[in-house]
Amino acid sequence: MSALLRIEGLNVSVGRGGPRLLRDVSLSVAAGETHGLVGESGAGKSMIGKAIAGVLPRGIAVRSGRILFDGQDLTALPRRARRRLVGERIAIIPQDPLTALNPCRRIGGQITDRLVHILGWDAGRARARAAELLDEVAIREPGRVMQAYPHEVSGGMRQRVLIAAAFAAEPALIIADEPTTALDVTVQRQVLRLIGELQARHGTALLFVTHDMGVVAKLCRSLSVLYAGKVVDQGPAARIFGPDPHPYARALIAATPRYDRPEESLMPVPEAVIAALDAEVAAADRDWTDG
Amino acid sequence: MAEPLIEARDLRLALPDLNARPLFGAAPRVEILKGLSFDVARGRVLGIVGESGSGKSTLGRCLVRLLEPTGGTLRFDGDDITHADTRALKRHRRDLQMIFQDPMSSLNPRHSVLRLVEAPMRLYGVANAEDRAREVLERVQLGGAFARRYPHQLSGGQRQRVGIARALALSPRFILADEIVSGLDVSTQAQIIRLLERLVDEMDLTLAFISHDLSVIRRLCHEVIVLRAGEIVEAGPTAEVFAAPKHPYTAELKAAIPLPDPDAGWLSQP
Repeated sequence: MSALLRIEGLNVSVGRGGPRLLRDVSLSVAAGETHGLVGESGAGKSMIGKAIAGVLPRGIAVRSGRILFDGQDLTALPRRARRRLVGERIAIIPQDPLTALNPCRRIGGQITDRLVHILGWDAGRARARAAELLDEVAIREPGRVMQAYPHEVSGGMRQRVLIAAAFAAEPALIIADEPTTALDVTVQRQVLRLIGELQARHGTALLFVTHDMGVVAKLCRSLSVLYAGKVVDQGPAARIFGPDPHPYARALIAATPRYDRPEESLMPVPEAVIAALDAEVAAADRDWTDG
Repeated sequence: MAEPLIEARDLRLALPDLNARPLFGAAPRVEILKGLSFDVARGRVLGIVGESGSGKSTLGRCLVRLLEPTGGTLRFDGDDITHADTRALKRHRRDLQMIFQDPMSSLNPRHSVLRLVEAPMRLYGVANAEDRAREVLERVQLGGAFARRYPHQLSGGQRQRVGIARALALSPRFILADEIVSGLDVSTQAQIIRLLERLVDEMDLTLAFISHDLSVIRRLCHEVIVLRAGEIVEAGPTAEVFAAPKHPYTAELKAAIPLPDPDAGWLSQP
């Protein structure tokens, strides 16, 4: 089966010869599949999403490797063609809806932007589609919400608006970057359920970035565990959360408190595990030459 | 049975609703805490859990009397401190300490770790403040060279340890910890939780621990109160509340926690 997204040996660094932020990352996501990217802060999970979307911060760039989307290498495409392709087929659900939405514009326009400016729809059709999507994300009064400004609706509602915006153009791939981290647990569950339903209905592939081992266990069939920009474990959730995780993945799971096992001792990631990972990373860096 | 350290009876707080303020005249009042009654027993850890807007931080601020309740009574160690003024509160202040969620914004960036931990003791004229500060830092595993560092030179977990050391410095009788592990990576969070568990045991602390994370509450707290919209919907020993939640809201909160086990059915459960 050919993958919708295949990343091969991706290296991203700060400046030429500067520190590497992603170290030989390879992964693939099939159409309609959900793949989780987990790790602690600074592990590079968001960086992968940014590299795919072509929105790496200034000074940070892809040094080698390929990002194949539907067979085309995004890193080799001319800028305009890449922007067009990404705009049409890849969408992002960001973490913080309040900073992602423009506070001075009504919500409706912010959903239709993409449809009008990238896909060239006319305004009426785009508005109808936006209303339909808000309805799909279980917003009761789509008309009112489209007229509202972001500060006038709740946090959970804003996150749903961004989900609606992401699904609006029927993208083949959605990159969700910690979309539920700021939400209450009950709202988080509603939002995750919603993403799952929409994804199944539209056949969208999902790359789900999170630091929460619980969320990834519930949502993703397969995942990559990152440490210092390196994939240290990759495979089906059934294995990683089951019999045979990498020691670091095992340690992250053991560090997660769970209400159903209060007597089990809560272990921070052991220093020996970190030392082994650091040694691996250092060895990989010695072999790496900036091409 | 010993008298509880903190006794809240029908505790209420109403604040002016500035969003609904008319152009002229006073803003209508909105009730944030709607008559809460509970105890914090000596040497115990009380968990306060609820979602955003439930009033848990506001309640915490009332307990350490940063806010003045507008109704009911609040007793600390037998004293009615509900409406105690600054002077009357002064003798309790050092006994009511707080650990904040974001140590980066609560620690002065221009002060060294040692100075930060000494500060509350200097304020109260504690003798040998420096020795005592080093001792407390040792307790939170920040001994030695850490004393000379500045907040920006520390990791998130280390900064939170400084926040804990500062709260412990005056050997207070009550500590309020408001979401102190929620901004941390899971491994760091595990370290801080273990540290707190140890300190509670060793130092016989009385703690109110505010969190939205039921798994953390289950580990750390002896008793728990579940808040929703300014009301206590359920209260009791943590083990009992978790084993058999009596209120549907508690059950809902519990069911919403994603445990790290693969389970595709979890999303579609009601």
